[in-house]
Amino acid sequence: MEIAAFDKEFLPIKDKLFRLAKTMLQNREDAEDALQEVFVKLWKNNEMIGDLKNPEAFAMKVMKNFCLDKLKNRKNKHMVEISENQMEKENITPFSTVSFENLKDLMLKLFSTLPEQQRMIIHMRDIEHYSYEEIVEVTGMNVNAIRVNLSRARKNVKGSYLKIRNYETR
Amino acid sequence: MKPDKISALLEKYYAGETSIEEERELRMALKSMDQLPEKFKPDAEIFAMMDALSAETSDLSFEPETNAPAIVPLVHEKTNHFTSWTLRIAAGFALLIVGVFAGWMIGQRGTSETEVAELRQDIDEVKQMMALVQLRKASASERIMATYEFKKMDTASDEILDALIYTFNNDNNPNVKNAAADALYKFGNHDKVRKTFIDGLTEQTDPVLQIKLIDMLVGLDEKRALPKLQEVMQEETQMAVVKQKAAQGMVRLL
Repeated sequence: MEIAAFDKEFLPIKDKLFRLAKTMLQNREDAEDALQEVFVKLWKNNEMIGDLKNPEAFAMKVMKNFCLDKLKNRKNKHMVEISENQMEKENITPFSTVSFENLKDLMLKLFSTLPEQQRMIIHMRDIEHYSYEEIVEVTGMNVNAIRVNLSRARKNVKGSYLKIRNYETR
Repeated sequence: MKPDKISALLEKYYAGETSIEEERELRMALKSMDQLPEKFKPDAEIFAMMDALSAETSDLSFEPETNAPAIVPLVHEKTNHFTSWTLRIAAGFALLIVGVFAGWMIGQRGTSETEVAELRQDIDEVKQMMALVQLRKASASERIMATYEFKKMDTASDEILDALIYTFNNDNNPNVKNAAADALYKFGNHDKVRKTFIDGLTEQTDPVLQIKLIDMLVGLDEKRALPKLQEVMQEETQMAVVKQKAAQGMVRLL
């Protein structure tokens, strides 16, 4: 695949790849590094990309795997992810007064309380609005498992949010 | 949409059973309600946060490129098999003799540490000679293996550096070039290696190798690379991801 064709295929989805990385890795700098690394990985495989039916799903899969590896390394380095209790202790501004920027951060913080698989699936469905078939293609999971994880993720997000909300209004 | 229908859709939504279309309708309904009932507020707020995250974009500027540079095709260069095979056999034979002799010497009483050290040096030299021979092999994997041998060494002679630099600059296989760059990086204290990396920024056409060079020059804190990094950033036909990396490299070196 020539560079121009490569760019035409993947540049339009760079923000989708970036958002998945940000949801998974929970910070902008790591997400931008991930985006760059994934573009290089895709370029290295550019000869086989021309034969793919769904290059976007392939790119998302590469990003998903990259993020999971990165998270595994973080765990090995004993990095702690944000827990619900920590979130409650932090000064979270009431929803009615938060800016657009803070809305994104609040959503990310809520996602950060989810297990990795749930986080990935709720992101693909509720942020990128992927169909179940597309999520199957990226994750390799079956539709039932995806629905179960999605349902748990949505309920967990709402549960965490209600706790923060109630804490604010106390 | 009536509150009863919203409640039913929300139940389906949290069970993971809504379709994309139903989810869209649900979001729209919650957004457009004049007097949002208290019980729906948390759901509406969660959807608003999700919408905000959906609009998030990356700051990395990957503009579409034109006149893409050609990637070097995988072509094997012609190799003089007679020379390389004879040299290889000769080097192998030499290593065997030196090894047997070293074993015999070490087994002898009274062999001093200096003599043992000299023998070890002889073995290292023969190993280097074999790696140099291997670097001229027809197969890319053999040439890559040769670069690994150099990477294991603590020091490198001018002959080795020149051979690696030649491979880095002239090999037709991008993977061999990459492996040669890795081996050279180990000897980054040599000025000729640094200069090779700096020149490589604009002479090499493989984006993967260019990105590696930028990382290496930043790792070596080589400020002389700044003008070339500037050139890479301004080159119209350069791949966007390489330009971005060059910009980051400049920031780190400044």
